[in-house]
Amino acid sequence: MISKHFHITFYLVRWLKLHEFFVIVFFSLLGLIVGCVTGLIPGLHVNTISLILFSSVGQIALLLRPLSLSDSLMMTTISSFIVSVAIAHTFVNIIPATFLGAPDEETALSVLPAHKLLLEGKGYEAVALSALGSFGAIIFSTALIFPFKFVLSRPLDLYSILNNNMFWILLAIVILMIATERRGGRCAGIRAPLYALSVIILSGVFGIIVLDMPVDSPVSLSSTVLFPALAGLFGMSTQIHSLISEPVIKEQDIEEPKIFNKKSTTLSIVTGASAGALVSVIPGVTSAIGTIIAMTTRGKTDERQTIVTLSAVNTACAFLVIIALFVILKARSGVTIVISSLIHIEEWSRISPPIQLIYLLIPIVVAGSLSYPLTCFIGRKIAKHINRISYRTIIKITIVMLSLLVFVFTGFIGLIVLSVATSIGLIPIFLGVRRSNCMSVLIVPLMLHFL
Amino acid sequence: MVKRIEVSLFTAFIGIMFLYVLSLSIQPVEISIDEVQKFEGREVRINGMVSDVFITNSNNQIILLKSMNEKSKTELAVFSEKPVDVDINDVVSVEGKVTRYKGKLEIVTDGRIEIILRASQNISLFRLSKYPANYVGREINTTGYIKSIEGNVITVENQSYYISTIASPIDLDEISKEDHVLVRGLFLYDKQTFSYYILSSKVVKIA
Repeated sequence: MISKHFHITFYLVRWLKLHEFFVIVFFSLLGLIVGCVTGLIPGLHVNTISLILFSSVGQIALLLRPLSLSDSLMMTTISSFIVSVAIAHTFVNIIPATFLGAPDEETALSVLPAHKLLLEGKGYEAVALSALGSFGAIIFSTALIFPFKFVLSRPLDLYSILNNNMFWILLAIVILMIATERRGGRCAGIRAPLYALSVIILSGVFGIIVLDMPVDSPVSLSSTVLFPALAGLFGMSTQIHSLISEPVIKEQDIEEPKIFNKKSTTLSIVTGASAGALVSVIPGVTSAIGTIIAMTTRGKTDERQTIVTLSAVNTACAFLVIIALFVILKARSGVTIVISSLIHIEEWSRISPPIQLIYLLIPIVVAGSLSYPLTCFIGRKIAKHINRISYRTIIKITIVMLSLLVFVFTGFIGLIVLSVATSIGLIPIFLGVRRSNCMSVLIVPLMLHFL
Repeated sequence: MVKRIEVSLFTAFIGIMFLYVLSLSIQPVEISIDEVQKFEGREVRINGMVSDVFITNSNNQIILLKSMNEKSKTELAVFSEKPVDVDINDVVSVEGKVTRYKGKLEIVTDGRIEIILRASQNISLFRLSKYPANYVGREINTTGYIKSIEGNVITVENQSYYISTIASPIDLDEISKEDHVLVRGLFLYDKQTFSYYILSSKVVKIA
């Protein structure tokens, strides 16, 4: 793996001027540190981080002034910094996702597989498995860059086919979500898909109502209503549920995960990264849904492989969405929206990629390689101390912090949206169905858009 | 557990209904093209005249808007995800988000563009004064600045030509002296005062 990265780095140095290369590497390292910090903040989505960084572009440019960079290199450097933050964020955010918002044992099945491991005292294993999935996705996605381009655009032109049939693709995804709803645990038989359908309808109606709603930050920060909506559906609901279910966090074992089945892990990474590639071009479809697609493709497996797959989807999507920006000229994430606002996006129409894309591969390689050991290191430290701190206090602080962030970015209307989204987000947890059904908040309005 | 589900469902339903009512009452703030810097990241409504329009390779539409205020030279790009049938010199009202693209501010809209006035329907006060007989009894659109307001009668002036216009009380609340306005209404002749006037159906501030 290291040798492969060395070759990529060597190839990049030959393409770029040496000083430009070092400036971008330096800011990629800076982005890595910032991404590790933002990834630890619970409920803070990478899209919101992109918007915060976008609001700070002027200040970052001022900091870069002593380097006397050309305008275009300055914007590329800032873009590299943002890409690095985003990649590191996708690695590290498994830590708050695992250690915060754990449910009681009764409802553990309806929430994250990482929480199930946390309750068994194996929270660190969940973090290490996730970091492995993300790192594997970086390697596999690097190998996918050229096939991804040639499949999406000329000669195969898959994106045109997808784009012309987007309504049917989204409908198929909704049907898949309902049909694959688990038939076991607390919610058995026909009730599971019916409950899933109810959550899909409720979230869809919520999405139709709120997505066009204007929100204003009291301190003039850029944001969209999507932030409180998603923070409520997935972040706040988990914290509230954790608070009312009073979980008991055991002392955590700090053991490196044993990969009993290397073939199964490789399959999880490959299917996860492939689903991530698909997710990166279909609007409104998130990593959680990508995981459903990947798990349906690869067949039934345990929660450890689900964690590897989910993280592979997440990181592959964050990676390939940048490649997709240059191939289909569509920004499918907060990060790519910011990049397309900063630099000129030249379509990747020839065999060799555009120079701007080569620049942006540097932070992906830097952050992707170093985030793996950093995530494991931070995860290990937190796992050691988690049961020494009052879990309820951490959850309460998280709830206050998330509410404060929502207010700062979206004002009072954002807080109302957050409250309603939290109520909706609690329903699948109580009903014992997948929370990813709540992603209909985006899918249903998009289906109406493509109808 | 059943009680928790009931509470969540109840809160979700009430919340969704409340948000629906709220979404109907929230209107984007109305600004002029010159004020756009102050509203970055916010949803706004903006009126202006189309100075150029074209479709991009990805089938999105770029509309260049100029201020209706002749003193202002500011131009603003509108990026519409859905192409709308507009033409050069049409007066439009756009609802969208003020977004920075490659360092410049623009409005990104999902197609919420209302055509206030088609260029082909606009008749200048100069033309009305020169050929009044061609337009009398017909529905017309014209633009100008408010010279005076007396009761429900406003005087609209453009390039030294002016005309009395009878406006509705609702429209009168929205306008004041020296505002640049679009007037839509019936062009009529008053036999008692030997003068022409407009019985307006709409008077709207355009910049």
